[in-house]
Amino acid sequence: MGLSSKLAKVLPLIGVVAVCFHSAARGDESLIAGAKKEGQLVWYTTTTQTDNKPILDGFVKKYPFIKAQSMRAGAPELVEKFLFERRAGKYIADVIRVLDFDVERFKRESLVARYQSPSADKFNPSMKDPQGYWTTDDYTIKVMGYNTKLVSERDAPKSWFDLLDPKWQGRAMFEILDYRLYAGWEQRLGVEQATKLAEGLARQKVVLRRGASQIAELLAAGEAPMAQAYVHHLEVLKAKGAPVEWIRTFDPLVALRGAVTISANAPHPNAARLFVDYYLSKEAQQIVRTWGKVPAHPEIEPFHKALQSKDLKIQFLDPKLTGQNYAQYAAMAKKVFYR
Amino acid sequence: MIRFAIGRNLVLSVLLGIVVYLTLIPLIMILYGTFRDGPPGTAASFTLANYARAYGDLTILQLGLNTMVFAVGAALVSFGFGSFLAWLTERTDTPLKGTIYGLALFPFVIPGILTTIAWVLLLSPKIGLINRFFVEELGFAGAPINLYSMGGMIWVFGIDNITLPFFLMAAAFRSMDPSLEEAGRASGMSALSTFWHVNFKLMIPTIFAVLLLLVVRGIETFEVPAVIGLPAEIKVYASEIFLALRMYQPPDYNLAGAYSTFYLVVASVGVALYLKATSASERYATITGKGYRPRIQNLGPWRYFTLSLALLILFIGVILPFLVVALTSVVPIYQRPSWELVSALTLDNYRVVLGLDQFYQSLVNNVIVGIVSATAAALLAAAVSWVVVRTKLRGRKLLDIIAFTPMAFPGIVIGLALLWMYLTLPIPVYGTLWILVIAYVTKYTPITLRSCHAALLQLHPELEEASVISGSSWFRTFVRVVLPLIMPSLTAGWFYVLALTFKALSLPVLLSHLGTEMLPVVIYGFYESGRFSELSALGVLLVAGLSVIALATRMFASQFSVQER
Repeated sequence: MGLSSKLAKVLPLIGVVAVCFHSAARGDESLIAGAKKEGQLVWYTTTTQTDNKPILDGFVKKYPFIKAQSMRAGAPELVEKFLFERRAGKYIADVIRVLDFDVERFKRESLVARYQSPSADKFNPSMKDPQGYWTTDDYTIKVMGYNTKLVSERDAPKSWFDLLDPKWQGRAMFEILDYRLYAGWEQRLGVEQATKLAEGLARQKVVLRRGASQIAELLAAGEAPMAQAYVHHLEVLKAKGAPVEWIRTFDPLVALRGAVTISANAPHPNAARLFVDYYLSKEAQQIVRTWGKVPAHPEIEPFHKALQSKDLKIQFLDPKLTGQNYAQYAAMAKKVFYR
Repeated sequence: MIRFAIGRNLVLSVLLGIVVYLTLIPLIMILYGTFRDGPPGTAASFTLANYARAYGDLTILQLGLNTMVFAVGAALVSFGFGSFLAWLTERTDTPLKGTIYGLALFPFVIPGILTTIAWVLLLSPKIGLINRFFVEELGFAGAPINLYSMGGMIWVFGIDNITLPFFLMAAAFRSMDPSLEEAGRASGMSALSTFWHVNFKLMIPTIFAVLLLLVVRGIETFEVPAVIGLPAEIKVYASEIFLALRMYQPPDYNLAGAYSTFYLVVASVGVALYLKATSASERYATITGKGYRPRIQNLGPWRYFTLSLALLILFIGVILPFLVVALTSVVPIYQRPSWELVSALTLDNYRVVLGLDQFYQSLVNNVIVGIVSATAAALLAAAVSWVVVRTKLRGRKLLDIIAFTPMAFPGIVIGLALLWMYLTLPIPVYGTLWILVIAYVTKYTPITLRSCHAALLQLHPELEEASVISGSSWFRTFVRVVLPLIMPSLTAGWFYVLALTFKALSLPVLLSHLGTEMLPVVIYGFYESGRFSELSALGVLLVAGLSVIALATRMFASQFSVQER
């Protein structure tokens, strides 16, 4: 596959697809032979320990000659650990699963390699790095949730700008300094509308709390009637019987994309490619689906019915732009989501 | 006699060398980083901008004031309750001592993030059960208690830390010389007056040591300032560091380091003042060559009053939040307690935790690393304290200050320094359990150091002299005379360090690697993925497990106690 990724730079798009298809069958043989010699795989990931197990089990079942291990940590720690290791010249990780912005940081220091997995051939272009460094495994969206004991479906606001109505003053809960949310507004609505929304909300005295998962839990307990929360947290709570629901009509719904990438100079490069191929395959994506977020594979329906709708106005953050404009986004977030 | 001195000096030099190596290199790395404009290993250049950003405007004064109000306030809450309970269990005939002892341990072992959230569920103006009780049952017009305030922050952090003063003060009460109290009473002083003039003054080293540890913990902690302080719009240094590390993209470690220099100053000044205040060491010696045993005060009918007061404190401060955690662990999602909820009770969350491979692996890792780290921290602290208290070695106070500084740095700042250090030094500990031991010993030796130092001050040198005169080597004297006599304080510090390895997150989250995960890493994984019910089940299991260890430690320590039982 090293050859095919080199060709991808020079050939036009159609050619790339053809080469990938072609090399998929042939490449598998040489990958397997190489992985047999390597015998190991190390996966750094932000997905949780309970979730990783079935993926690793499925992979090892398919390639029993590989000893596969995962290291799980939260995003900032995992990213820093990988960066520190690489800057110190230590090569431990083969595959890294973080968010797309984080891979942009890795790209800047040339720490990751291009790899376009044949498993992702049918993926929507928004699920792949245009330069071929990463592929999305799944994504989740931030939605406006409400506590159904405190707000009826009929009364709930229908759009972002409805939140500026005085009756919602002090009733919606947000995460402190959520600059990604503001970034999503600006990338979707333009600077003018986004600023108007931000300044309007700043006057609404939103409720500020710390920690996305805690906010979902607090919404269920009734700390505030409405809250900006991750859809998969809310859906899990809902399934357990919590009085929460979320509003489908907000535009944009800001999405956070997972990104799988292979370390440049990975100690087990063949096993790494086999793992990415497996992780993005239909089989593994059936497992990913059960985590409650939206699997990247177009043929796998999201676990939660509400997410199967095609009408959701989802805004993926542009990882490059978000990195470039970070200071400006953070300054705006400080106005709205910080006091 | 000369051979004797060489042996002693060799042992001490090695131990002191270890302490200096463990603390001084990370300290220098952090300070160096505060003058750089990028992380280590990148093309960064010299700058003063981090200090300008950290201390460049006047809001820093407000931050400093808030930090001190929070840290000192919480320290006083912890100290007041902890000492009161310690006095009851060690020096009075108050009934149910075992129960009080057991309950005072709870906050030690429940993950901090769980208790903080439990307090939100108890004291939030909107949903807090206590506030709802006042409004709905007692007819109050509005919620009487607002968790999101300075008072709320002080309460939550203060009550979460009663175990440290409880342990250390208990050890000090146990070593009290009753003949001095009797002398006070015989010369006509009232009980209260005796307490003030005799007990209090004799315990100054321990009291100062405990307060110093608590205040430094208070300025360093992240959880309460982030979860309660930020919503309350109350900012402290820790919340600024938290923002620099968690909210900035990329995280700004150089800035965080510059903020931490404030801690360094507070901690160093604190230790220097402490050493000055306790320099006349013989004044505090209560354990002398004379045989004695501390007297148990007979409180008469008052013992039921003290018991009620203790149980009230423990009920509000410890049992209530634990009940919230226990409740959350047996229901699918947190709800207000009600009769309907009984039918929904489930043990599924326990099944999830107990079915997780990482739970067992991290538990085993945690027990090994925790015990090794706590023991090493105790031994190093005993050596350093002995040198500081018993010798006239030049620079011994500086040694104490240096050994104490890691306590003041936020775990994540020190964790990153250690990460870089062992990635680049040719010492093969990265990715093994050893790097965790090194980190914990570095960060937590200050705790055992303070408890040991205070205990040594209470020990009169005549005991050691007697042993040496009767022909024992220095080493034998140290092991057979000194260590057993400071054992209550040493085990108290030892257990606190062990508990922190089960509780504190920032070090293991950076330094754990493949197969070397520690329990807090698993705990944080549950927290981040919003699995509060499973997290609560894990919390309850931890309380059960560590309570057993703690009671065993108590039985062990009591064998060394000078008190007759």
